[in-house]
Amino acid sequence: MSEANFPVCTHCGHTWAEYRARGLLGCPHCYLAFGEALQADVAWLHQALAFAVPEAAHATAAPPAADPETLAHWREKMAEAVRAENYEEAARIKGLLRAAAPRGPGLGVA
Amino acid sequence: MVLTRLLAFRNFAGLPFPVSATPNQCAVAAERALAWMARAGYPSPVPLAACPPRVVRLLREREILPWRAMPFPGKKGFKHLATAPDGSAWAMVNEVEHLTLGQLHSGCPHPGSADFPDPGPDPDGSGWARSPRYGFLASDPGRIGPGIAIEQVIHLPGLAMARELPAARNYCVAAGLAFAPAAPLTGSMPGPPDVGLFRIASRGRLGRTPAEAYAEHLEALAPLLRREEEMRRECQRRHPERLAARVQGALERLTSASTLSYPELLSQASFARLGAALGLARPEIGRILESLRATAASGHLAVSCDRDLPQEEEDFSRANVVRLTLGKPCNEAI
Repeated sequence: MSEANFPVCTHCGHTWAEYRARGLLGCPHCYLAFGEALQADVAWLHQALAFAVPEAAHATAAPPAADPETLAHWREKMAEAVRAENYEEAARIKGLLRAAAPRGPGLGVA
Repeated sequence: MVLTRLLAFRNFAGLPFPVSATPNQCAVAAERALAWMARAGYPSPVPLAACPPRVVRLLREREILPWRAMPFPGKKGFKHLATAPDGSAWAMVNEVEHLTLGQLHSGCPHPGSADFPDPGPDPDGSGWARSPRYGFLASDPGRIGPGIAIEQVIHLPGLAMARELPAARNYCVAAGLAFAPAAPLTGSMPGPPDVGLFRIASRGRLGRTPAEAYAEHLEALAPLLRREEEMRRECQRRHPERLAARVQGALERLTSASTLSYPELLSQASFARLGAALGLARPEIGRILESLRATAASGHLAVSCDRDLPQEEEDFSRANVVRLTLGKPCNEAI
């Protein structure tokens, strides 16, 4: 799935590409608009492997696997972040890569 | 543990986050946030756009403003800041989120400190942006849930000397902690390993209360601190004379230099701090050097002189400030 296929928030007009560029969502409704695509980030950022969100316990849908082009883009971004000693950003992208790679069971959250 | 910075993030329901809000919506958010701050007892806020660059540098050096600001073109006029006189608490408006509350503690405060007092949103508004599933909602999805972030500046000279910083960084990433130099340094020498100060950060964890998130942060950090302590003791056991000489040399340089760049101050202070922690120098040195990390930095010197200083004059002024602050009886090794 390419990033162009991700939805746009109908409330604020924020796009998935804008979120990817700055790491910021446009409004509270973006959490619904970006739906499953956002779950990989939320899961990694909040250590989803270590706990289960009660409301999400019944949901088993895993985040969508990214296409090779997107994965290559993220790897390049991670290398750039490491060169700039921005380790927080590098670790964030590493989490995205890990979450988006082909996987077996889901992460345990929706 | 040098210091702890606790942040809480709140956004008003019914308004987009600052990144996508129109100027009018930013103005509404600012009005609500300023009313909330007044009810919560924060001092009078100032618009950040009115602060000269040297004051902004000072606020960064005092750990109030983030080192990497997120620019929102055309919306800078809606950013406001209110700080307690001693800089231990502050509130920012429209800095990524509608409202960012901060606390700065020396060392490691009690986990209960992560519970920020909240008089509630204004009665006429529609409350905070929250969801049953995600808790407090924020522009940065790493800030949802309890709506807090925890940052700690720690001194890791033992791991730096043992060349274990890459392993420490790997551990932090695996433990869900961000690991970065405490502050960006300019110039080519010395680098973060010489300074030994690092910032360990973790976001609020979804499904946890603020106090639980803070306690988990400390738990995750504990192995790193234990390893640092082991490496310090190992260094002292294997090289006692060299270490004592290095600590003594750092103290002499700090108390006698006629000119001192900021990176050199941090580098020499790292050995002096280590000496204080290992009983090779007076214990109060660590606290004094931590204070100098802010008060001898570029922004503080410029604000105290009410003008931007050329580099040579700044280094000269810094050396004066350090010499005066580290005056006897603190400048002698035991």
